[in-house]
Amino acid sequence: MPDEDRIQRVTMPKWGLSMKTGKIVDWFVSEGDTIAKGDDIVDIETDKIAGTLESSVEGPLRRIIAEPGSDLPVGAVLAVVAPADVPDAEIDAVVEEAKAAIESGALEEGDEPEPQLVEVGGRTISYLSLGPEEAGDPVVLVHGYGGDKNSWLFVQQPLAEDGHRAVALDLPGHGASGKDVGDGSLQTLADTVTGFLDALDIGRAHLVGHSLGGAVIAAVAKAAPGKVASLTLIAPAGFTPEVDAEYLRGFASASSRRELKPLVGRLFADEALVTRQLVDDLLRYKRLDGVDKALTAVLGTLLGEGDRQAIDTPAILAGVDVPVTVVWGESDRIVPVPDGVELTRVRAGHMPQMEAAGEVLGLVKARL
Amino acid sequence: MFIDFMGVCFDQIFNQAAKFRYMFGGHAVTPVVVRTMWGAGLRAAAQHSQSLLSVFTHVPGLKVAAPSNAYDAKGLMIAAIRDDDPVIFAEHKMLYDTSADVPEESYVLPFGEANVVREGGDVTIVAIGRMVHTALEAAEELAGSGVQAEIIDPRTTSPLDVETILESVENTGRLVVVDESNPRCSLATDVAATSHRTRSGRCGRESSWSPARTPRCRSPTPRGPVHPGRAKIAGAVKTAVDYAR
Repeated sequence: MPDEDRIQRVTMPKWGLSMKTGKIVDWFVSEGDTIAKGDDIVDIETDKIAGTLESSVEGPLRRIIAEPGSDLPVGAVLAVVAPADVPDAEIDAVVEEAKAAIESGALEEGDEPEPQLVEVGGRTISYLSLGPEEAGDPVVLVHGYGGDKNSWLFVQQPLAEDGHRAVALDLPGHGASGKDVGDGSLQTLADTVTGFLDALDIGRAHLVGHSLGGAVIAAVAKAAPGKVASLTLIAPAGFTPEVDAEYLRGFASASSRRELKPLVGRLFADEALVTRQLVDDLLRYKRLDGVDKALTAVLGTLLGEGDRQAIDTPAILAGVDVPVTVVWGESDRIVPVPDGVELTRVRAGHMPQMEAAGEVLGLVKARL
Repeated sequence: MFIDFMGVCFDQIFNQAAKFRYMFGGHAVTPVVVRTMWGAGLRAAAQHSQSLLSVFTHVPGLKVAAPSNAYDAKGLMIAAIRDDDPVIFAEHKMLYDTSADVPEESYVLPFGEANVVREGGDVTIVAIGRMVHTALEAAEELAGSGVQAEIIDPRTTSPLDVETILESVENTGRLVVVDESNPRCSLATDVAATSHRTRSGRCGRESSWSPARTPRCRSPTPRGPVHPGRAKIAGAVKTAVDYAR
């Protein structure tokens, strides 16, 4: 094998649509270490969120190019991995080339995938499709209450890079979709997702849902099992009667950064992940006309009498013959981990797709 | 029109629009928005360069908004139009050609809610309109010498989000107000005086914090050289930091 093929590059990931650059916080590995796929290698901070990059390559780490504190564009080469017998001169050449690419500014341009709009049942739905269209059953990602397609920033792009088609949509009343949710019922939301699959000519899909989105995709599988290749439920709604009703109500009514920030902190095991930008983006969403009404309507779907969960997801799934994977953050403060349910526990709060993205990604891929 | 010319309708604004709700026992409302252009920077001489926000802020019954960016301008304008009270909507003439991400959809920014533009623990800078941007430049310069400034953009001067300002000053212990208007009876004097108490109503300890103001000099021709710039703001911050170190 020529040496060039044995040299692997660790690059700045793209976490979410708006990410242009990332700041290197700290390396967990040193030159000379041998790294494996999935190893935590470096902490990176974006204006939206801080995260840990897991290695997608394996072998000896020959050179670290990106210094802690440096702000680098998406795609920039951060480190070089190659077997020990590749000569230093060749590694140096790769480092020089990488530095030249950063300095030239060429990385900062390029075609950005844009979200698109589609009409479903009289409602405008915004979605982002990444990856090749002809890649078999696509993965369709459905966010939770008050979330949007950016919830999948650590999952969608890696799926696409791996050759899968990954489509994330905004539910009615959320993100950039129309703000009319009708009665806001689980049925309405599930019908919208089913209609969305039809509108995009997706015959069958692997559905991945977080929180409320988990209950929504369960309802989709119940109504149209033939359209569903598998279900991956991430901290899904409706498995326990208990829920942090104060969080749900507070989120629906919060109108300032001061009110919203502590609530958003409860979503994560590590509250330091909540950046100003994350809270500001949520506030911007919450200020849009119609969002207040939409969130109030959907709140009525989530919360029943005595502030207990109104949805019973296991009951919806009973008799549905579709493979189901359940994953839960062991420090979830919004919906507690249920007993007696076969599930994978990960080190995260209510947002495993952000805090334990690598494990979530692995579970999703295992179904593909 | 230029805020400088508002004098031709002072009676209608001050004594009619601002008072109707109160003169008619709440039965009359005045849902009017007056757009006006303020601030220096265009070299448009003495009659086209004033920053008279404090004149309108002084009058009960009027609301006053002065956005510093396009996103805030849209949200505040929709709030102003939907408001049943008269609103003076002051647009800084040097900000018309600046851009920001603005949603297509309608949204409302509530009056009386300040924006913490930048977080920092060493000094609080309160700035409005164009001065928010100048303060940001100064803050970046100060960060180089290890001083982290928190910048608060009140967005509306009436109502004023005193709570957010006090919360920040309690944390930093130092306040600098950047104001384009004349130094007497200005936003700078008002915020500095208002901040001289804690949220619990106690007086701040003199030794632990110091207000500094950077209004321009008192001058009938409010043009470039007398205006607060980046260096002047940074200088005021350094004075405040050195005073209460």
